[in-house]
Amino acid sequence: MTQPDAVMKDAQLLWDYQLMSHSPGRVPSPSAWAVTTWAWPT
Amino acid sequence: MTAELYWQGMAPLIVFTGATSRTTRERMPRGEAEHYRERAIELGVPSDAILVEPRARNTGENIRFSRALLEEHGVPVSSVPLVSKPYEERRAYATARKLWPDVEFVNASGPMTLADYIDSIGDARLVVDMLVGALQRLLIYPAQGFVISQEVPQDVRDAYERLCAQGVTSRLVPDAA
Repeated sequence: MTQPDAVMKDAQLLWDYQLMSHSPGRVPSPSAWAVTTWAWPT
Repeated sequence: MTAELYWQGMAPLIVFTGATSRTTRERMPRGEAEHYRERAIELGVPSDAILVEPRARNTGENIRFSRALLEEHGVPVSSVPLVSKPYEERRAYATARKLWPDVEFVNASGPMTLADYIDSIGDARLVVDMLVGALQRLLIYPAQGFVISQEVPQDVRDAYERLCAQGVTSRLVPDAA
């Protein structure tokens, strides 16, 4: 079911926040390493 | 994703954890962990590199039961790539840090956009409902001792409140809604 644009815009904010590994720079976290450019913590 | 990380040498041992949930009961009748194990073996991961924890029914149990299984097998653990659905990364991390604080966790999930994920599920409303439910748990579970507390930016809180006000509430924890 298609959702209104406003709903999807808010959903995108929730998605970006909850996605830690490859979200674009949001909410710095010790676990925020991108899978595609994996950097093992030292 | 998990098999890919294994082949990249990110982990010498895989633990698949999970029974079934209401969203996986039909697709994975033998349990999520068992289905993931079978898929990993199809992809060439050796069976002796896999442990299966088939009982967990929530994220806390995923962590606690997996930890117990690894201890039972005498596996020393210092760091764990934590693989989950994309939108459950933060809760998986918050739960793991709470329940297993002496281990370092790094999140991973299949790299995909929200639109990709909706396409894979086939139901945009269900996905938005799940996103709202997952955020609610991040907000209320610290006080209940289930997860570590994490900062939630105001714009994210505002988006959550707007979605709740529009009735996107089917996946909320009922007593806290």
